[in-house]
Amino acid sequence: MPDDERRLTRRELLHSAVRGAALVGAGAALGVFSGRGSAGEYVWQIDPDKCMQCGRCATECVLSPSAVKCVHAFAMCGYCEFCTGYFEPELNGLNTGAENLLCPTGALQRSFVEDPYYKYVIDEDLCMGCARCAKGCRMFGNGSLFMQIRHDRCLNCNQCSIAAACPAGAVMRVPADSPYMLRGGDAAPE
Amino acid sequence: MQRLNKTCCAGLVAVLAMLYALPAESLERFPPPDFESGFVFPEVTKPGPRPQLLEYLDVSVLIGALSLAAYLGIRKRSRTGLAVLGVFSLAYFGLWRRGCICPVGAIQNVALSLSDGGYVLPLSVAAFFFLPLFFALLFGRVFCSSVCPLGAIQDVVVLKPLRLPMWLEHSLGVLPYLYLGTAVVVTMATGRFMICRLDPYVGFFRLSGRLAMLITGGILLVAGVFVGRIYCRFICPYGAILRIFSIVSKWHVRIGPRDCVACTLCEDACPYNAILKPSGESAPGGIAGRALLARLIILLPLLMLAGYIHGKRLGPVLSKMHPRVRLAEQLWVEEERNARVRSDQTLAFIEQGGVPKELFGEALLLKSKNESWGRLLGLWAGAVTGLKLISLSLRRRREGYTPDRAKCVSCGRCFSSCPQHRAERRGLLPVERSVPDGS
Amino acid sequence: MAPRADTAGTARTTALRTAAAGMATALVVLAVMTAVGLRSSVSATLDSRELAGLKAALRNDPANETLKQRIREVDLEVRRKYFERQRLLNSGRYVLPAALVLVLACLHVAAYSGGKIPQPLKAGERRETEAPGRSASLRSVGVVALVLAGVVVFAGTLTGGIDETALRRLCAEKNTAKVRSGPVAYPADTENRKNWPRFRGADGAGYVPEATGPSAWDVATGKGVIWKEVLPMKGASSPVIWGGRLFLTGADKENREVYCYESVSGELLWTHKVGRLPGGSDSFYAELWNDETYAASTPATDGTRVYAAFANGDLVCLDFNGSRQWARSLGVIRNSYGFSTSPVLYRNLLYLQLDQARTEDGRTVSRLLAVDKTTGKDIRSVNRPVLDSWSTPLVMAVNGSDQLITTSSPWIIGYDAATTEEIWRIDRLDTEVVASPVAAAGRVIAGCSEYELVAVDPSGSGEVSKTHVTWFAEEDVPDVLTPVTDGRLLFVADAHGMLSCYEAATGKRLWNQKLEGSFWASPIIIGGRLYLFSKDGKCHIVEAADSYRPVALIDMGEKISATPAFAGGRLFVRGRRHLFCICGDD
Repeated sequence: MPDDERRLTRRELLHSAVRGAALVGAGAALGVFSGRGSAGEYVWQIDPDKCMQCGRCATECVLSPSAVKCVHAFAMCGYCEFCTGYFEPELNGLNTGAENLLCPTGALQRSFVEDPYYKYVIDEDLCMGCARCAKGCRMFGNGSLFMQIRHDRCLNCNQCSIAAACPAGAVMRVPADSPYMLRGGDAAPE
Repeated sequence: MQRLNKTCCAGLVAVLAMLYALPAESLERFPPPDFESGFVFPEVTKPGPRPQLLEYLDVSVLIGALSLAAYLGIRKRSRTGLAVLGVFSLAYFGLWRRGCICPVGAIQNVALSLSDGGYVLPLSVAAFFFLPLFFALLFGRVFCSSVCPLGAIQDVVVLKPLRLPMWLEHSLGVLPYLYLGTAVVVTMATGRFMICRLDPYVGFFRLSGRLAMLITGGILLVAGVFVGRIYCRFICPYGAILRIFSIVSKWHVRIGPRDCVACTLCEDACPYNAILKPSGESAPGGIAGRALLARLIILLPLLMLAGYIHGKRLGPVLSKMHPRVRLAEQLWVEEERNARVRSDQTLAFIEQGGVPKELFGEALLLKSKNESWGRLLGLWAGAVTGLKLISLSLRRRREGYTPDRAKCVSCGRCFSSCPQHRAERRGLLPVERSVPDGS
Repeated sequence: MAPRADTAGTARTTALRTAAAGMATALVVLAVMTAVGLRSSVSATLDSRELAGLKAALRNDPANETLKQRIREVDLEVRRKYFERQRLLNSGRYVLPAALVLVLACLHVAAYSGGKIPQPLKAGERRETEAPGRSASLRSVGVVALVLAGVVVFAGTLTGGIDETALRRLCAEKNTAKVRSGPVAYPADTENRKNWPRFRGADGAGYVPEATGPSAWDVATGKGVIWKEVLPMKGASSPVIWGGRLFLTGADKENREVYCYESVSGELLWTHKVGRLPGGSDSFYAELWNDETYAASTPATDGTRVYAAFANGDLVCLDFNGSRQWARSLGVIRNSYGFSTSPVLYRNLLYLQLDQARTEDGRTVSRLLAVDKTTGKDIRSVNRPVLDSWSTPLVMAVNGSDQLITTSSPWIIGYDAATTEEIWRIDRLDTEVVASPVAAAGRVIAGCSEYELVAVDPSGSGEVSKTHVTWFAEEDVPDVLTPVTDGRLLFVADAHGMLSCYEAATGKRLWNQKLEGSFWASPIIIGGRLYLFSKDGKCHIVEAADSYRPVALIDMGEKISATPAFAGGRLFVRGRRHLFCICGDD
């Protein structure tokens, strides 16, 4: 059937044309995207100055427990005995009875340094990211306890589900080569 | 009034000054003490994210898997090979890489980089988006066959596939195009990634996730035992792009290695309804058919126009998804009611020094922009529906059984139903090495 | 053929049985995981309602040891449960997919071993080609399109929460000051004037025009005194009154309390103990020289809540039932005699003039603090280049917008009350500023001890020291007591009893008169009478007129240092030991 063969050829021609156009188009698009600048990877991070310690990090992360943990900027801490990140704000007594402690999992632990100073550290395996300590520290203290996404745990989802739920818009994409937004600078002071 | 003798309490003042910094605006309410015991501040640990190099490893694995899938499907014609590759992809891109990032989700990154000037598309994400497209132009949907972890997880549960009636197949087949348009518009208008949020299988890769999506994924997988690859066929927005590219691909898998003899053995072989039958005796075209076609071609611009006009109604829906508009609405409602208790959103807005009037102005602007986005989406929906109707009324003459290039996911399940294929495998026929494009 | 079929059959049976076992395992694990708690509720385990209830109970009964013991037990149990659930879920997360993989593998084996070789279709059995099914396809695509269109139409009817027309109107308005930036539950001016909402009443004017104040009463016999209640704690703060309620603060070095009395009967409705706030302390920058200074700041109320400040820097917000809405400590305030500035409410803001002495290294740390009155959180904090002061700011309408005017040494500063932006400042004060500014004849009247009384035109901007002084006087200037005006006449009294009358518009002194005694409480004018209570408890009632015309001198029987309050035709006076409600025996 010569007529059929010709139609077949016509369609093939059309297909080749479309294919060629698509290849050129996709190639050009890829070129444009890669030429737009040194496109490094992004990771998600919490801006501690925007964070309002609402506690959604604990429940919204796709991981359980959350990849968001409390981080302590030791150089900013006042090493107070009555730490409002460690103790309930309306304190019953200055002792470590459960009625006085804020952290629900015991992740925030303290040790004596020298009179009257105490050091506070976070056990990240226990921390669930509820931000209660960060809230207490932010409200009444120096704000040296704050929430950060820990990249050894974070799956770096294409869109962070905490970002979608964060009321303060504090979860944002940051360049992967500076993946943390730490309070009080990165390094401890001299 | 008596003046206080300040000297008498100078000592007290000194002690107090040491204990308390003043409650100033800076956060240093209690300055770090000068330790006498030589205590040094511990370092804040900063575990890094996944190294960049590994992202490029992912891209290499993707290229390798795509090439292998093309080779196994078109040249080697090995269903077993494709199945094994599928399990590998499921393990690597799914369980190991936890489903992120995948080409399906990359649609949104590309869309976001177009609408948000502050977002530069990372190179690896661009590679993930474009590489399967190039492969589809050359080899058909080899990505779907055994590289996509979403496809692979569905492929392994296909046990008792039922045939869906063609009318259902066709009508649900419109959905991926509509989903594609919706997802792109939603991303560009609101910055939200709905494909990722509504991904039913990623929860299984991560072994945790939102309950609603885990349940949906579970239901889809159980249903997938009987209706193969539900997501790929009726939902996947990336598949929608691949379909079009696959139609014009240079090469494509074939059912049998040689010319079809229309033995009908493969007729039930495809669980995805992707095998086209010979056109038989029924006369193509005809006056009635041409009249229908003409009417549908006239209908197309009308549908697009209707979509454009009514798409405006999608504006409020998009606005509801937009974080800024939502914030503005929340603030508005609270102001109206003189709310005593603020929601976290508005509280954060006020704390960050936001000006309500500016926010309201921004929300108004966004709302009118979203109406334009809605019109665009309506236009797209009209076009998709119209074109689908036109394509349904076209007839082609076909001699033998061929894969439907749009629907075929190149999985190779039909290979073994072809007697010529089986004969070659058993050495009864010489292996056909020439790879015709199988039009 | 038979043995081969048998082997295949056995394999198939085995595979199916294994699959069934795997499926059973998976279902059990799934059931356990569901029972243990769904992901979102695992962390909620820790938000135990029982624990919260117990903790609340402990706050009301802080010394209850059994309660503490119970909290510790419950807390331990809650934590144990949380980690247990976490552990179960974690292991389930791996067991479940493993079981399902096994099931799948077995089912594939079963399907393969039972697989049939495809047979060609017989003639006539051959399935229909697409043609007949096509119209159905066309129709169904149409149906899908229609359904989606219906969804769109339905979605379009869901309108947003914003009233767009109102919003457009709002955005079209030019004056941003009118945009409400917080919950605006503030009372109307008329409401304020009916009550006594802050230090020196509505607008801080200390003036009630349309009323008649009492002119005769006798504390000893009780004539003209409606009620007299013993006060639990001391303080120099004045009462504030709203509706039928009177609020008052009292404190000593360790304790701080807010009281609510029924103003009609004098019944004490509730007492709120502030307790120790986080970051708060019982230490002071300078030791307080007077036991009434611990509670020197007069509270303020907006008709739904009362806001009280104390010399140790505590700031609390209570509702009218005495339950705490928020509380915070501002830390130690560097004030040489004790912090005594009263809070001032303006719309959604609570202003506190936190003027402080210089630090040891000479820095100035004074600031004007604006907090959100609903949450107590800082909204703005503006640094002020001034020394510590004891005056309370004034809110004054100037050319249609409200200014917050503060006095301290050396600057008088006018701020935009809505935005806290500084509008003008003037360098006219030199010594310690205790008297609060007052508004008279469109001018700000301020003064400081032994230095100056000055009337400033507040319509300027920037530094107006050279341009905006209307008049000033260097004798008979206010020191501790805030002046009072009826709009035409300005009365200035000092701590030593010199009462002077000026013409407010010109600064012309009309008369002055030395009164017996020394004074802490500021004068107020009710109707045409000026009330001035001396430290040793004598109430001087003088006509607010162009010449000195004394009306009465009444002995209260105890020391008085708090400025009186007036509402509902009654005068409320805080003495050292008692709170008096006086209607007079005229």
